[in-house]
Amino acid sequence: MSDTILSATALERSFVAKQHVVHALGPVDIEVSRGEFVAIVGPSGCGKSTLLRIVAGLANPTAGQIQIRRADPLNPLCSMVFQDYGIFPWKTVLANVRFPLDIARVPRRRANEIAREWIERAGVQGFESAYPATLSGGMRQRVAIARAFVADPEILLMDEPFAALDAQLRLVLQQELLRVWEQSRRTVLFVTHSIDEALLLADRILVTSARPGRVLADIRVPFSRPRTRAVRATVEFGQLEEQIWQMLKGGVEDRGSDDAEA
Amino acid sequence: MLISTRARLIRLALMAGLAALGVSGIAAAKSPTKTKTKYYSRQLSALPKGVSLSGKPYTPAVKRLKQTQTLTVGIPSKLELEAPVFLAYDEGEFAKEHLRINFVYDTVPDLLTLLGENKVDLVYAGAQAAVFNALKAGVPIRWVSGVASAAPDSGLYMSDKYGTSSTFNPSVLKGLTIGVNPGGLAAPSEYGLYAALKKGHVSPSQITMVPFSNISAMVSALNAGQLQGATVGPPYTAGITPGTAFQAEPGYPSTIQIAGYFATTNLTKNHRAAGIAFFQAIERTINTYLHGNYHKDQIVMHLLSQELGTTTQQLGAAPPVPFNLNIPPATLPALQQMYATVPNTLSYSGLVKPSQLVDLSLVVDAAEGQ
Amino acid sequence: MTPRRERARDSGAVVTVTRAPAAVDVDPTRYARRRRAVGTVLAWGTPVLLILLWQIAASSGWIDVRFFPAPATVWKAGVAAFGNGTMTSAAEATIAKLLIGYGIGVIAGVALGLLLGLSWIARSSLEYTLIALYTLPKLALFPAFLLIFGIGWTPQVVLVGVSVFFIIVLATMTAVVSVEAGYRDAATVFGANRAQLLRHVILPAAMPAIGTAIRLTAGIGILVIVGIEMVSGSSGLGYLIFERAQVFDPATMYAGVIVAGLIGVIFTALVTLLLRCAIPQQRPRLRRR
Repeated sequence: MSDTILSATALERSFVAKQHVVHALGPVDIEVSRGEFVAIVGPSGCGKSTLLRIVAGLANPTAGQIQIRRADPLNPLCSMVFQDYGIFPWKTVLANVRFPLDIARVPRRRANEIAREWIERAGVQGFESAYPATLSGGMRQRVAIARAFVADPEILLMDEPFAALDAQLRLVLQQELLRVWEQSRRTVLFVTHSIDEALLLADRILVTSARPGRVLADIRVPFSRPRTRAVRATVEFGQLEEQIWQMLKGGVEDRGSDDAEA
Repeated sequence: MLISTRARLIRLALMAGLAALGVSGIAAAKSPTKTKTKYYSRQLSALPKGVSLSGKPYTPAVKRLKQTQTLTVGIPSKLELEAPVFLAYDEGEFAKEHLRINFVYDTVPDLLTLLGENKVDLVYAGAQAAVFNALKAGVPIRWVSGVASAAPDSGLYMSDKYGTSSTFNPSVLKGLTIGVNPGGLAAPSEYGLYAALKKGHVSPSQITMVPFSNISAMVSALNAGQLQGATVGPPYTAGITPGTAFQAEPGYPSTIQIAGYFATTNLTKNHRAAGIAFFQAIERTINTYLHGNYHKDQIVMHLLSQELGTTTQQLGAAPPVPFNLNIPPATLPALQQMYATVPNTLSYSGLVKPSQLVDLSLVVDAAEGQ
Repeated sequence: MTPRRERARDSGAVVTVTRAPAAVDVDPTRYARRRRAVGTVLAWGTPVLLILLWQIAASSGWIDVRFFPAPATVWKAGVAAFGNGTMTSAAEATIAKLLIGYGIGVIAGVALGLLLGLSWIARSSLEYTLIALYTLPKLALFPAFLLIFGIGWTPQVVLVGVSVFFIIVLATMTAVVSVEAGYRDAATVFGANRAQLLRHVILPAAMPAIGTAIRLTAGIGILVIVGIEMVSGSSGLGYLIFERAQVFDPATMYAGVIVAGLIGVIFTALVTLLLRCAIPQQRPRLRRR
């Protein structure tokens, strides 16, 4: 029995650039259930990040609406992990991870405790008083993940969080993400370019078209949890990957073309 | 390839040598020959008996140097006290003597430095403490002429709160704020203030002296009441709002001289003819155009107003200047006494005697027509 | 390299290229220490060398010591001026005026700069007016300051403050406006209100650029105060420099110039140090990582 946490109806977003209107997103209709890990896969420029920003409240749609049903108003609504980290260079690791709690005015001592727990879970213990400039890319992304989880939000938004990391680090962090997520099972919207990443992590995959971004397919990922890397070896994994790739190929190959398929 | 470079170098050296010879040849040709002086080739620290520096119009007569010479004259400001040199230039008196004059405009300390480096031959300046200190530092500076026996309308002006010219009691100066020219009591333009302080038995440390490099701003401050007094001279005295301030003490008494022309022994010893020619032109100008009440002479007033950058009305607001090139013997002791009242002004102890600084031989030779 | 190799090929000999450790690789710590020592010697040695050259020029008559005294003479005059209190009181006056004027200029500049950066209404109204006022030569307005503020310290302090203010306000405004959208978004997503955004994101993000402006205006503050003291008023090092030139005392004058320069160096160094402590990521690290 899953209840809907988020429903988007006829959602569209356009903006004006150099005297003509660019239709970035939509119309899309999406329903997400509480606790679902939804991956959004699509070519560049199809409005995936825009969708996330609208959910986060950083932008408004130009048509349609999103409704979010809150179960726990005491917790923050959402938190976001950005592609280029977005952690603050002027704060230590501890202060960065503690940031959402500071915003929520949690008393300092308690906030430090919670932050330290998540620092340990994210695997950056020992670096609490270090500044981000001294950390590697992978460490910084772990800090960003810890920060996103520490507030215990209802929806977790991730915008290509591992795109800037090398392939081996990606695999490690994918595992870490799964491990950390298993513990709380919050709703996640995860944007990625990588089909196999989506298949590894998500319960559901929304395949989006090139601009204007629309949902091409809504695929349920059959693998059971907890997920391990072993799923990569299964036949279904390869079939699904090929299937999704075929859907995307058209969009990637004639990017910029105006007739996108429904 | 090496051989041709050496040849090139030799050629260059020869050309440089020839050029150096040529330059030194031109320089030798330009330096004037020493002319023998007739009477006063030695230093004169006082006016000899029976010699007068003033005379009838059109005297001393034109002498004409054998070869045209150039003198560079340093000027710090454009006041009526400096009228003789400008008028002489405009009336062609220097040209008559075959003397070419270059004017250099700068501050007195800069001009004294240029004088010390022989980049300037004559400087018009007040006999500031800097002159005495430069002399003691080894610059062979000589005070070769005075300017006037009084500076009409200049002196210490006090706010009307403190009385009138006839009733002023200088002891009230204690604790007041007085505007002064840059340099304060190190410059003889402030002699009026010093005389007032002496009369009132007030020490300079008991008043607040505020220097102003912009005299108009100082007059505005006096008018506005921000200063209780200031040392002012024409033409700035015209800016004093009538009814706000009165002249409490004149600029200086006729027993001393405060300003004039300064040169070094380079002029008084090595280029006497040019120096004498300069003062012949000056004295002739004073005798012809700037004697008595020359403010009535419209042509002279017109020329002066143009040269000094002012109007004939402003010039006429103050009495005419009684030009007098003498340096009375009481001058040096009085000035050094003034400078000694402010610590760190004079860099030496003891007194400079007139025989060390004053040399009136150029103006006397010029007046005597020699 | 190439011609030699070709020649070798022609002659048939085999050329071997060797890569062997250099001094820096054999003992890096010692190499680094030696390099630092050389750097320190150069940094301190160059001014000492220049002073030595100056003394030699004076002693051998290349420069006219009546107008350009030898360093030894300047030193003696400076010591005497400190001894009789004239240099001390002049330095104190200049430092006091500088600190007050600079302090006011910085505080007012940062405050207004923050306001302009955060409020587009304030920015649209004031930005171009401030730029126009910034380019106006304040020295030309100084007689007006004298009329408004009277004579004494106040107009000079105001001049320093104003000169510093315009630079700081424009730099702060630009720094605030240029805070990257990514940082703002991060804070907004986590639900920060305007005050929290200012405190946690905008102020710390803008601090490095603001700090640079503050450091640069430290030098400008010294220039302005000594400059105005040279042409107006009767206190401070500028007045001492001017007055000693008036009286033909070049030794004490140059001593004053050197003292002014030293104050400038020390003041700028102090400001730089304070700013480093205020910008967390630039704080001097006490522990070696």
